[in-house]
Formats: sequence, C-alpha cells, structure tokens
Amino acid sequence: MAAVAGGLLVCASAGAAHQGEPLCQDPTTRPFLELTTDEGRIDVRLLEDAAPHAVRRLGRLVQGPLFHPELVPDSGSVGLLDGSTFDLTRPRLEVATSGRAPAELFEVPTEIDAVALGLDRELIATTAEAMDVMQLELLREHQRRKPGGGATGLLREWVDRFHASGSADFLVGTSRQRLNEALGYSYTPGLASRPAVRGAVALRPVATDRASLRLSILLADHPLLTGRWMVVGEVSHGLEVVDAISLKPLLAPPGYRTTSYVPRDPVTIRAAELVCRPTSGQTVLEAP
Amino acid sequence: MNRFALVPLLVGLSLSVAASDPPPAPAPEDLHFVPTFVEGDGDAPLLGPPHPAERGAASGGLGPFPVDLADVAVMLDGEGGAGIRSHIQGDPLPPELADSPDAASPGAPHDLPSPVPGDELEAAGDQSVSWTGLADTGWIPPDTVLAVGPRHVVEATNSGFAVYSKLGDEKQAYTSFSSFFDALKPASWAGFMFDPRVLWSNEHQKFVLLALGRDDANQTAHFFLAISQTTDPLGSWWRWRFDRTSTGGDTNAWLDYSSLGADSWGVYVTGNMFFWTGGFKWSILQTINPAVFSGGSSNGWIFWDLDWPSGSNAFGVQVAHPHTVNGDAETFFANSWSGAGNQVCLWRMSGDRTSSPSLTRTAVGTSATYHSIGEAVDQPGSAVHLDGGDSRVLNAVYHQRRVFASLTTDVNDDGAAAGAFTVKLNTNDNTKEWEHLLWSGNGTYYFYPALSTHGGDGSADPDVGVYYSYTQTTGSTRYASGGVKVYEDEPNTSAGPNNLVATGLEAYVNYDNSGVNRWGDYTGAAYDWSCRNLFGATEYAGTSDTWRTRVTAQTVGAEVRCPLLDVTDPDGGETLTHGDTLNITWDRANLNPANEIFVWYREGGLDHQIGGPLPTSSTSYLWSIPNLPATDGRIGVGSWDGASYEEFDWSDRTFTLVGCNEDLYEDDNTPGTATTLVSGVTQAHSLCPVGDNDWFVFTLPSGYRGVTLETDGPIGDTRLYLYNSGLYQIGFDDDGGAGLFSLLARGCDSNPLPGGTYYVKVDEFGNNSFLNSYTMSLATSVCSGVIFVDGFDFGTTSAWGSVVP
Repeated sequence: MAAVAGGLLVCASAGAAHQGEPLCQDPTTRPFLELTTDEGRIDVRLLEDAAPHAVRRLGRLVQGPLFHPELVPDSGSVGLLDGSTFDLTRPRLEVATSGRAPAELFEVPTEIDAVALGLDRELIATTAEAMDVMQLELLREHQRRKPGGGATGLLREWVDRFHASGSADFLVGTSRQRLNEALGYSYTPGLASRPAVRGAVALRPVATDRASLRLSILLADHPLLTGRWMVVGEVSHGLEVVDAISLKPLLAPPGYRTTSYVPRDPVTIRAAELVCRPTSGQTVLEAP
Repeated sequence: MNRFALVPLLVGLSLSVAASDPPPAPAPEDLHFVPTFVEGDGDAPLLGPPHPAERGAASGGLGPFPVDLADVAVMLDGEGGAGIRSHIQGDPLPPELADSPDAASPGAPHDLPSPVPGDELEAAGDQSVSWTGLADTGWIPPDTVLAVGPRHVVEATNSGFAVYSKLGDEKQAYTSFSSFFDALKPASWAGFMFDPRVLWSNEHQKFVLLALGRDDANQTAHFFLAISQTTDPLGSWWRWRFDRTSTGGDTNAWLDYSSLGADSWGVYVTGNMFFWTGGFKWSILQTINPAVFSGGSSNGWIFWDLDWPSGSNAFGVQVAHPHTVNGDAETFFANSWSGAGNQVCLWRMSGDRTSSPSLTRTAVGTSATYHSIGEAVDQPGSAVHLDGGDSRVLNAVYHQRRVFASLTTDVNDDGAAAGAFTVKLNTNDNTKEWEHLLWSGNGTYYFYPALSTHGGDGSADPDVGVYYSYTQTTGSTRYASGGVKVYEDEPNTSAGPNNLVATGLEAYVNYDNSGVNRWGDYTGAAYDWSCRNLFGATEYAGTSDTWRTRVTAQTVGAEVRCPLLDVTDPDGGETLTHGDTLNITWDRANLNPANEIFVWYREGGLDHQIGGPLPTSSTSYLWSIPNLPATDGRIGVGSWDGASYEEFDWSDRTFTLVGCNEDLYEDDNTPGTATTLVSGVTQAHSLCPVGDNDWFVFTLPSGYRGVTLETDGPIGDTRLYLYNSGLYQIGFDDDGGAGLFSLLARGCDSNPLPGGTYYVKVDEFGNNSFLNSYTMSLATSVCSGVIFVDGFDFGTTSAWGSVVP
C-alpha cells in the first residue's frame, strides 16, 4: 500500500500536493520512489526539474488514492504502482511496469528540453548523413502516416523537396532538434532534461507528444530515445535488481517480430512509496 | 526353390536398348535434366565444376582484411578471429546519372491478374503444378521462400521448412530450424531462428539453407547455414553456425533480413544489422569458402558498413543469385533506397573470395521513382491495412551479364496503389537496360515481389517470372492473394501473362507486438532447372486471420509442360516383407499418353523390372513382394517412350525388404528330393520363399514302431502331412506342437506304424508367408505284443480301431 511517510521525511499529502507544487515541501529534500518488489528494492530518484508536471502527477498517483472515493468507493488509498507488475522485460535493455486502465486517464504531456540535451547543437554534417536521415527516419515516418495522414508540415515540406530534387543535401546543417520536431516531437525550454541512458527511468510514450505513466527503466544507453522519451528519474539503488528482472524467463519463446517480451512470472511491486530524502550525496546521470 | 523366378533380372543401365526390350531403369543420379546453354556475352554455362582458378592462394593487392573463419572440428562455428574493419576498394566505374524522376507519371495501369477459377486455388493459365504449402506456423510474418532441385521443392518460412516432390507430395513435414540446427546452438542459447533463405545451386547440385539466429537474453546473433550433401534434401546436410554478434569490433547489433547466394567462388550472405537498443547500424556482406559444398572449410571475408557511392548507408543488399557463370569470375549484388529513390546500387565482387575479394559499386538510375508503401495496403472487408514494407530490393538474380531485381513501390506515393517494380541492369556498362512497373490502378496493390529468370536459352533477354502478393479493393475485390507476372522473352515490354495463383479467403488482421499488421516479408521465386518451370511460393490470407502459402509452377512460352512422375509409396523408410502384397503408387502429370509405364525394384545395385507395360494413366501397381531382401530397396517408375525414359522417379529414400533364407536341404520340394529323417536327429529347415514346402522320408524296419514327428521353432505356423510309401496321406497335424507348430504321434498303444517307407511334408499355414527357421525331428520306438485283430493290411485307416493288449 502506498504511504507517504516511508523513509526519512513525510511528503505532502495527496490532498495538499496540488499541480505545480513540489512533491517535497522541504527544499532540502528530493522525492524518491521506493519500489518493494519480489526481487528486491529499487529506489528511483525523481527528477522534478526534468519534467515537473509529469513527475508531480506521477508522484501523486503513486501516493494514491488513484480515484476519488466518491467516484470509486472502497478503492482505499491504493496508489498507481501498488500491485502492478513488470510485464515487459527486454533482456538487458529495459523493464516496464504494467499500465492501469483506463489507460487514457494516466497520460501526461511530454516535457523535454532539446537544448538541455544538446539536440540543437547536434547537426547533420554530411550529405551522406542527410540521406540516411531522409531514408531511415523521415521517409519512414512519412510512409507510416500515409493511411491516416498527420505528418507535420515540416515533414511534408522536406519529403516534397526531396522528391523534387532527388537529393537530401538540404538537410545538411539541420539540428537533431529540428529533425525530431519534423517527426512530431515538441520541446519545452527551461527543463533539465536527461538522456536515455542506463539507469534512467522514463515514461513510455504513447505518441510523440504524450506519455503513459508506465515506468520504463533503461538498462542500456538508448541514444535514439534521447529527446524522444521523457526521462523522469534515475535508479539510485537496486539497478542490479532491475537487471535480474529483465532476465526473467519469458512467457513464450521469443518469435521474430512477435516477440512480446512478456515474462512468464511477472515480478510484482508489492508496495510503492513516495519518500523525501535529503539532497546530499546524490548524483545525476549524464550521457556517456 | 528358385529366387523370384517370375521376373527378369536386369543389371544393365544402358539407355540404348531396343524398343521391344524391357526398358532399363536409369540410375537415380542420372535423372536430373542437364540443360544446354547458348553462351552469350562471355558468360559460361552455369553447370560444371567450380572454378578451379579462383580457389586457393590469395591474389594479393589491397582489399578488405580477412576475418578468420577457422573451422571448428565439428563445423560448429564458422568464425574465430577478431573482426577487422573492411573497406570497399573504390568505385572505379563512373556512376550513371540518374534519369529525371517521374513520379507523377507512372505509366498506364496494366491488366489485372487473371483469376483462378473460383476460390478453389487450382492451377490456372500456364501453371503446371499448384499445391498448398506451409500454413500459418504462428509466426508473423511468414517470410516465404523456396528452392527447386531435380526432384524436390524445399519451402521455408518462419521458422522451419518442408520438402515436397515437384508434384506437391509432402516428403518431409514442417521441420523447425530450432530442431534442424539444434546441435549447433550455443550452450546458453535462449534465442530463436528466423528470416530463412533457401536456394538450389545448380552449379554445385546442392540445396543451401540459411536461417538467422537472435538471442536477446545473451545479446548474441548468428546465422546458421546448411548444405545438402547430395541433390536430395531428405538426405544428410552439412551444417554450420556463424557468429554475427561481432562485426567491426562491436557487439552491439544483431543481423536481420539476410539474402543468400552461391556461385563457383563462394557462398554469400548479406544482411542489415540493427542495434540491440534499436536503430539501423549498417549492412554487411560475408563470403564463405565454396569448399563448404563438399563439407570443407568455411572461412571467408566480411565487409561491413556498406554504403552508396555517395557515402550513405546501403540497406538491404541482396545477392544476385546466378543463373549463369560470369566469365570474369564476378559476383553481383543489388540494393535500392529503403524509403524512396530513383537509383539501384549495383555491386560487383571479384578476386579470391576467401583471401582477397574486392568489392565495388555503382549507382544506376531508374526512370521511375519508387516509394515505400508501408502500412498502406488496403484490403477489402477491413479497415486495417496490411504492411507492404519499404522499397528495398527484395531479391535479385544474375543472368547472362544482367542483374534483375524487384521491389515494391507506392505508385503515386499516396497509398492508393502499389506496384511491383522490376529492373534489368547491364553489368557490362552499369546501365539500366529495362524496367517495368506492374500495377493496375488505384485500389490495387502488388507487393513483396520476388523474381526468377528462365535459364534455358542462355540469352541475355530471358523470360522473367515475378511472384507477388496482391489485394484489390475496387471492382472484383481480392483479399490478400498471390500472383505471378511472366515477362516472356526479350523483357523489353510488359508482354506476358499475369495470373493469380492463390486467392485470399478473408481479410487478414494479425498485429505484431508493435501494432503492425505485417505481411510478407518476402515471396519465394525459383527456377526449376530440370523442368524449366518458374516456381513460386506466395502467401495468401486464410480464414481466421491466418496466413497460408501456395507453391505453383509456371510454364513459359510455348514449352511443353514438364512431364512429372513421383513415387509416393513406398517412398523410403518402410519395412516390406516378402510374401506380402504392396500397392505401389505414384503421382504423374503431363506424361505422353503414347508412352508406357514400367515399374522397377532396385536392391543391392540390381534392378528388377516388376511391372509394366502399364498405361500412362495408371497410378498404382499391385506388387507381390518377392524374396529379394534388401536394406537399400527403392521402387522406380518410368514413362518409357520406346527408346528411353522420358521421366523416371525412384523412391526418395530406401526401404527395407525382409526376405528369407533357403535351408541347406533344398531342393526338397518333392517326394523324389525328400530329405531323410533319422530318429533322434533334429534338422534345421526353413520354408522359403513363400509357398515353399519341405519333404522328408524315413524308413521303419519290420515290426511296429511308435513314431513321433514334430516341428518347432521360435515363431511360425506349420502344417505336417504323413504319407505312406504309396503317397497316400495317412496322417495330418496343424497346431499339435508348441505354439502353432505341428506334432504327429503314432503310439505303440494305439496306432503304431508297421515297417516300411514313409513320407512327410511340412508347409506354412496358408502358404502365404515364409518361415525363416524351424526344426524337424523324428522319434521312433519299438512296439511289442501288438496284434491287429481285423486282418486288414496296414495303411487302411479302418484297421486301427482296436488293439489287443
């Protein structure tokens, strides 16, 4: 059962933690998630400065209750992660918590700052690189959106330009930020966004502009996800537990492209608690 | 008794016997059709021994560094040493400028494919054979491929293969790669095998099979290679495992979407590598020593980070599997842009493939711009689209200095129609010689094409068969179906039939874990060197969101359909017993009705004609199995045209024929050749062959004797007859002995035998089986004080009524 007391300091209660207010009212503390699982404990330091709205919503829902008692009687104070499982385990790459229904109620807008991640300075340097981006990213996304439309204006413009000239040279000098924006990603300045590296905890996206509240713990550096997945925390303790969870036997023998990475015996989160700890001694993950 | 005296015994294999003679049976190894070639543009015929000059020592010069693919003793892992980055040597031939893109004018739509009759999926048009191949194995997508040898079709999908006769008789049921390559799995293997490729190397007369391996838990990647040791894919295979976890010193990617090819100088495997964490890394091209065709060394070279002349990543490089041997000892490859483009990259490899191969490439322009269709293939009855894939080259074939390649294109880049785009490149000058877009207007989708060329005439303008998947949402709607377009001779136009070969039954919706309704990823196309047909394996939608495949063969032009014979029973592995009757069966198609069928039995290198002449409409023959035991038996059926066998097939594998052994007392089949019995001496006999009987004779001195005659043995059912000297039967027993053996006793106290000569016959109950071993014994005893009171002579049964003690 979720509790606020947990370790060292008591966080704001659910009722008091309004949108925009920090999860920990004492400025000398930072919020942590303590996940007690079948395999051991995993601590996640939440990064409010990276994605404040998402992190605070996550924190409040972890704290519980999920639903207003008048709307869902007898729901008690069960939090978002209590009793949930790691139902996606990609060996050595990622584990993710299960989603809760109705899923659309647990979505948040993506908050990522491209500048903080250096995407604005990551430029296409050569014509060869420009063609690779065109073929493997832009045209692929353009193709994916053919049936329903929805490509951004910038993407359509670039694809048309490529078709007219047969060349992608015009992309030379374009930043990764701009490329991602053409693919539908949007950025918010002023955030301390983090890269998608080993130990990072991200919210699994459901679209380029919003994410679910499924926690994804990354076990390898995922450079393609940096700037696309909203990192909301980092594992401060128990990464070896996450490694072990990722290697659990899968439900069915993996099948190419049908691989679902569903564990046969999913590891359960017995309790998830939001606690506030002093800031001293903490480190921040950085891209390698 | 004589062995099987009713059929003539023939040993000779000459094909030049007179028409009136019993036609000889050809040896199995002589059966494959050997095509003749007209050399063109310097190419040599494909058949023949591997190119000896390109074997062995390195030719030196700059080039990629070798990856040491040292053999492991049991040919487990073909790779050993560390990978060293290989560099492409250059681009010595100037690239041709691309034609202007013309996306808005794809040309006039062409005729829709001619339908098969109803939904019965029967052969139509120019099809010579058609059968349902592998069906939904639970994998998404199926990735259908096939190869055709002299006698067999090997079809592979994710994640296994099956073997058929060329008439569709299943010779080997679906066999998973996981079991087929089981002995080669690494010790900690937790992976799966996928993306099969299979080909028939007419040059080496072997099948080659490839499957990729990916182990997520251990983050290791492999490919598995197998080569049939003979023309028979039902026989033994050589197998190897190659580690592809590491290329370029990295271990952060896995191998996907490989292609496979083979020629005189090597075996070639290409593929895309993707990071474990996602995203394309680079393409590779690996050569393997052609010694693998004899189970030898599997060393070779690897190129990675393949790119276009412009420096961009090459994606999906395909081996142009050869139909002819390049006169300059070159091997070709092709790829296109995966998203959109108007170029095809033509790759050329030369030099010793196992020590210093060199690789160059040229971008060749196409007139049309192709676009990837992606998840935009409409299907009737569902709002869910099928995934038609991107615009990568799906397969390629080399033929007389030309490379043919095919890909899918979104005709107007709007998702309204997809076409099969085929291009012909001239390798002499690196130019595009011909291209064609097969499409039928908006609402029709041709996708996942695969092509093969017709290899018989040695022309640089061969017939080209393009198999494809197909849907239609306008007019006469079509669920996901299979079809074939044949470009007849001189493929400078679109002339040639376009036929549906498999009709989809329902809309297909089966998402993968990424939410994609996958289809394909590829289609099978192959050339039948012995029957000169173009074979294809196409995917089509079954019921309940399942996929199926259909194998068809397409005759080309005015050629006579290939006559075919296939022995279906016995086809190997059986145990037959002398004396039984077997219904020999075979399938046949397109046989000359003026011919005659002859049936043969082969054992120990000897051929016995056992049936015929029969009409060519016959499909069976009742065979009374003779006493010709064998562990290597085969049945052969041939269509004899009076001078030679137009078509002949043997059982695919050997069977065992259990016969019997004649005993040392033969011939003892008559009273005149009877074996003498001596009291107290047991004789070992057999009843062989079926119908055999053994005669015995014994003599009693004057007076009376008690007599006991008995047969015995481990198993069997005998009958025993007793005759007097005049061969009147005076006694009989069937099962009086142990088990079903016989015992006839004439005791002193009841009915002793007076002195004289007596005969005994033993046969098998029913005379319908043989008895390999039984014993015969006689025991006599002297009788005293025996008086017959009726005065009748001995030998009349009425005399035996009473005895005075």
